[in-house]
Parts: sequence; structure tokens; C-alpha cells
Amino acid sequence: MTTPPTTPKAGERPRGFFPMPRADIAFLVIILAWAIVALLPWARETEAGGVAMLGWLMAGLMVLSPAIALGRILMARRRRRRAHEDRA
Amino acid sequence: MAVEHVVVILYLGACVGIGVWASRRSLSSADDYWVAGRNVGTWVNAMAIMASLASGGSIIGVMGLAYAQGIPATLALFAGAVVGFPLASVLVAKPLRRFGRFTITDFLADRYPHRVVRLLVPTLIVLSFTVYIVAQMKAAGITAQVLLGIPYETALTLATLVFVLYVSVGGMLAVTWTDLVQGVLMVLVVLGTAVALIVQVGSPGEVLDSALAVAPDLGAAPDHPITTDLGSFLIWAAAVPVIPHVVMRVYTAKNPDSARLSLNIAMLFYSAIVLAAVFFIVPFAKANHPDLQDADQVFLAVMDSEFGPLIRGLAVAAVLAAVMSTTDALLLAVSSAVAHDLIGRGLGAKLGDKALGRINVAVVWVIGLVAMVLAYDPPGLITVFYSAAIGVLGASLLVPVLAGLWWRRANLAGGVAALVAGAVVYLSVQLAPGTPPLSAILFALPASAIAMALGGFIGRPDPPERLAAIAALHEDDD
Repeated sequence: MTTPPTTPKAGERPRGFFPMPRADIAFLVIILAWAIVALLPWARETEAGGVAMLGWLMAGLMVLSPAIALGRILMARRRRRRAHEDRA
Repeated sequence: MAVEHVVVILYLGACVGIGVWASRRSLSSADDYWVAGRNVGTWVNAMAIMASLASGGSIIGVMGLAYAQGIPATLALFAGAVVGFPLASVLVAKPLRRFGRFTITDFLADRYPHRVVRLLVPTLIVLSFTVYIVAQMKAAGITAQVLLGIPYETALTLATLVFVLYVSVGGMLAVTWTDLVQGVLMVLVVLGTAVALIVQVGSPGEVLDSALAVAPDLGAAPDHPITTDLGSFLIWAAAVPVIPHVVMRVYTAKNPDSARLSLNIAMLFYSAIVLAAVFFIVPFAKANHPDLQDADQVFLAVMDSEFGPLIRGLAVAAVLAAVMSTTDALLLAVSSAVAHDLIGRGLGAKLGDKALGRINVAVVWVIGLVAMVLAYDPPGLITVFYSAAIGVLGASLLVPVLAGLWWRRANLAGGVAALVAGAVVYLSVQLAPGTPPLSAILFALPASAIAMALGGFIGRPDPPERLAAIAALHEDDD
């Protein structure tokens, strides 16, 4: 997934970021977007079942963010195992 | 009272017993004392992480906050902590576990080798965590006072002596195994209480509906400024990836994969506890105990009115477990900040493992006793109190850590500037009169990021070998 890191020579100014798997970037963007939507004024003013949407969206974030991260780690681990088995 | 006392005494005795058992191996090396030999399995580590984060604040405080300020405001704060863990698992767990060592200061002092970093980081940790420990002690004191009938000061003193004793002799191994016991106890008591209340009322929906009928404010958005919600969310989301007692847990894992798995498993359990408390226990209390003077006593009021002595004893043990599992991890992190970071690295003292071990034990006692004395005059709502203290760590450490791991241009000038700017701006805004509660981080994090960017673009680039060392932390596993 990641490209081999390159190191600049002495005195040369390094550029950019170390590479991150795209799925990790997507995960971070989703979490950030969800948090922004939940913290906007509309989520304080709109209610569902007597509770402001701010509450429901934060509750969803509390369950989904670790669940998705966990699923990603387990899937990556399975992929790595398969790759090892194929090589063997 | 006899049954409750027996349950609590058995529980406290077990904690001290684990400390004594762990002391047989934990003082043999620094690796064993601070990171349990780097050999803790995924599930044990997950439960220990959950227990470390689920403090007295997460049982007593979460319910107090929801009772006083409503469900949405409470979840805005606690969701920040939960989100912080997946962020930590993506952004810091793998490279930091590969980096090895013991503390967050180790990484920062290697990445930005400067005296300011070696001295300021452990100093901020000690100050912030001492405040955090005071809040935990209030939770322990009021629990024993309400459910066991012991005077607040006596309960505080006894609880302090027990956890200082087992942390000082048992190190991370004792903390890990007591945290496992404490984590299981917390999950069982909080989820068990929620289920029992749902059965009593009829259905989950009825618990919430009956509370909203008499107290519609429970579900309403808070009337404080939106910056407070944003700030409280951000404080925890920013702090969790860098707070020392969580980072030390990354170092205790067997490997990077295990560290990432345990962080996320821990958060599923933690979310279950917080959501059960906020959606079932607090609404039940709002409907049945609508006029509590001290909101932090809501859980205790429910336990006192609805359950028999055995369950009440377990509840006291669970709250003490929450307090102790966090406080022991905080004490260990503070002792490593003083003995390992400040005296060992910051002042350059050449001390052997034995001398460091003795300093470490002394620090645990001093900090524990100082916090105990401060807790004799307890703060108001504990969650707001310790969140404000923890914010300084997120504000000052997050940018240097993340940029140091991921941004190739991060350099010494940027790292030092980001650290200092984050801490100074946070403390200035936090202490300024008229600042909305918990909003200082909204100013401090951008200030820290700007300082890092200026340092990175203007300052001298780091030597290539330092960058190569960071690049090696990101290489693929296979």
C-alpha cells in the first residue's frame, strides 16, 4: 500500500508527508466529516425522540468509529496472512 | 453495611495482593516496571486501556454531567475520547510501538533533541495529571461516603493508601492485572445496572421516555456556547493519541497490530459503558430522583434506592475500580515523567535501574499524597475540572507528535515552537476571565500548528539520519 520512503541528502529541504494507506485517509476524513456535521448548529436545534441530533450523532460516532477501525485492522491482517500463504 | 464493607475489603485486598505478586518481577528491570516486559496480550491490554480511560469520571462524572447538562452535551465530550482512540490507532500506534522505549517524552526528546522538550513535557504531564488524580479522588471519597457511610476524608485516605501501595511496588504489571479485574467489574456493574433498570421499567424506550416526560431538558442541546461543545470534543480527541498513560499501553503491547487492535476493542467496551449510563441509568435517576443537590451523586442515589447490600458493595467496588484503574495508570505515568524523563533524560543523571526504581516509588508516594491533600477540598463537577487539565497535554503535544511522525519538514525549531506555543496559548486562554469553559484548545491547537509550520518552513532542516529513522517507523510489516 505504501511507497518506499525517500530520504533527502544533507542540507536538502524534505517535502510532503510520509505515505499513509488510502483506507486510513478515508477513515480519518469520514470521522472528521461526521464530527463536523454533528457539531454544526442544526444538530443542536433538531430533535429526534426528544433528544437533540447532537446526542444521537455523537452516540453513533462512539460506536461506529472504533467498530470501523477494528474491521479495517482485522481485514488488513487477513490480507497479510493470505499473502504469506500464497508466497509459501 | 456489613456486606458492602466485606465486598469492598475483599476487592481492595485483591488489588494489593496483585501488586505484591507483580513486585516479584517488576522491579527487576525498567522494561518490566514501566511497560510490563512489552508482552501484554491484546484482550488483556484492551481491558486495561478501557479501565485506564474509564475513570471515576466515566462512571460518577459521566452521569453527573448528563444529569446536570443533558445527554447531548455529555456525549459531545465523551465521544471526543472515543474518537481519539481510532485516531491513535491510525496515526500513532504503529510508529510509536516500533519506536519502542517507555514514554511519550522519549519520542519527543529523540525527535526534537532540545532541553526545553526534555524539561517542559514531563513538567506539563506532572501538573496536568496531578489535577486529574485529584478529580479521581473526589469520586472515590463521595462513593464511600454515600454508600458505605464512611466520612469523606477517611475514605479518601484509605483509597489513596491502597492504590499508592500497589502501584509503587508492582509497576505496570500490577497496573495491568488490576486494571483487567477492574475493567471487567466496571462493565458488569454498569451494564448490569442498566439492564436491571430496563427490566424494572419495562423497555429501553420507556426508560428514556418517562424521564423526558418529566425533564425534557435531559435531551435538549445545552445552553452553553457551541464553542464549549466543540472544545470538549476536541480536548479529548486531541489528548488521547498523546496522553502518557495511553501511549505507555501502546508500548506494553506485543506488537503494533496488537496495540491497534486493543485500542479499538477497548473503545467498544468504553462506549457501551458511557451509552448505558447516559441513556438508561441517568434517565431513570432523573425520573425518580429529580432534585439531587450534587449531580455527581446520581449513580450512588440509584444504587442506594434500588439495590440490596451485595450489589451496593459491588457498585462501590466498581466505582473504586474506575478511580483506581485510572489513578494507578496516572501515577505510573507521572512517576515515569519524573524519574525517567525529568531526572534521567532532562537533567542527564546517570542512575542505575535500582536507583531509578527507588525514585520512582518515592514519586508515586509524593504525588499520591499531594493529590490526596488537594482532594480534601474537592472541585465542583469533576468531568469539567479534569478535562480542562488534560487539555493542556492535547494542546501542546498533539502537533509535535503528529508532525514529528508524519510531516517530513517537521524539524527541531518547529517542534519546540509548537510545544511551547500550544502550552502557553492554552494556559493563557484557560486562565483568562470570561473564557467559555473548555474552549481554550480552540485557540491553542491552531497556534501550535502555525508554530510548527513556521518552524518547518523557516528553520534549518533536520539531519537526514533523523528523517531516515522516522521513515523506518513507517515501513510495511511484510
